[in-house]
Amino acid sequence: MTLNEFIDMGGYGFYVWSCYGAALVVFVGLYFNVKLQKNRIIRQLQRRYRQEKRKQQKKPS
Amino acid sequence: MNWQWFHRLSSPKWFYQISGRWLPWIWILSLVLMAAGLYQGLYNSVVDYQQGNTVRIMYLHVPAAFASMMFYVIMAVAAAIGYIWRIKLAHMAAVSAAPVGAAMTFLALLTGALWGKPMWGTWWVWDARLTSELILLFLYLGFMALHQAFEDREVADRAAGVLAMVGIVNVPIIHYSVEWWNTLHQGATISKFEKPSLDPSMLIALLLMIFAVILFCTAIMMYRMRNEVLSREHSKSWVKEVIGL
Repeated sequence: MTLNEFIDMGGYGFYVWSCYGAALVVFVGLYFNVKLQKNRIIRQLQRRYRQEKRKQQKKPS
Repeated sequence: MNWQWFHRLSSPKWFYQISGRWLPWIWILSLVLMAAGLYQGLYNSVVDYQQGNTVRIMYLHVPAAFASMMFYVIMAVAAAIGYIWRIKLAHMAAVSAAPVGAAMTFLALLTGALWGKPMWGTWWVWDARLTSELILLFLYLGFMALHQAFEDREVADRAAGVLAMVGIVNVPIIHYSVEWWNTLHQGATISKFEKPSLDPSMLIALLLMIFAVILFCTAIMMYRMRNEVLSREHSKSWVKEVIGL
């Protein structure tokens, strides 16, 4: 099988490769979506903990 | 009866630790299976005598459709466990399963349309299988929208959980739709009880891709659950240690 034949997929290349392209986008999208969610949560919590610390330091104990 | 294991199993801290150890292996296994499945499906398998090369769409379409239903069941069962026993981790599982399932439903519909056009001559028909799968997508989106609509997470968990539980009636409808109604969609290709009607090279590709996609979705869901745990348990000292300052 030549490379051209492989890409052509017996005339159905557009349909087959669109599917695999879409799947790639969906899978990569799912991964980066959850990765960004993690970074956002860590940033939020770090800010929150810093604020809590500052509040505690201000309070005379 | 000793219920200690049950409580340990539902402890967010325990889940966070054990999932951290498992996750790298699930990623690796999923990617290895996917590489093998893509090689087998796109290159090393025979062409269908009726459908030609479009049969290669099956190796994405069937795993995505399978995962779309499997993760709905996971979501609904988790929501039910969370609702009945008030287990936080179960609600976190339900919330984390929804986006994964929605993505797989979308992919199943999209690859179905791209397969339908050359084989049936149409992108879309309003038949039982396609319509019930579209309803599945709306159930997932409805669950996520409903959950976000509430300020209070516990109220959101319970409200969206009811939607997930009610919506599960749709899953058997999707599964049996090709038998109950006349439809363009073909029947099941592999069944537990019968000899497979597929060429072995196709069957290998299909099974590899099914396991790869399920593992990938499981990894994404566990990753999301870990995020949920951190976000919801933020006042616990162990989370503060994990996040660091």
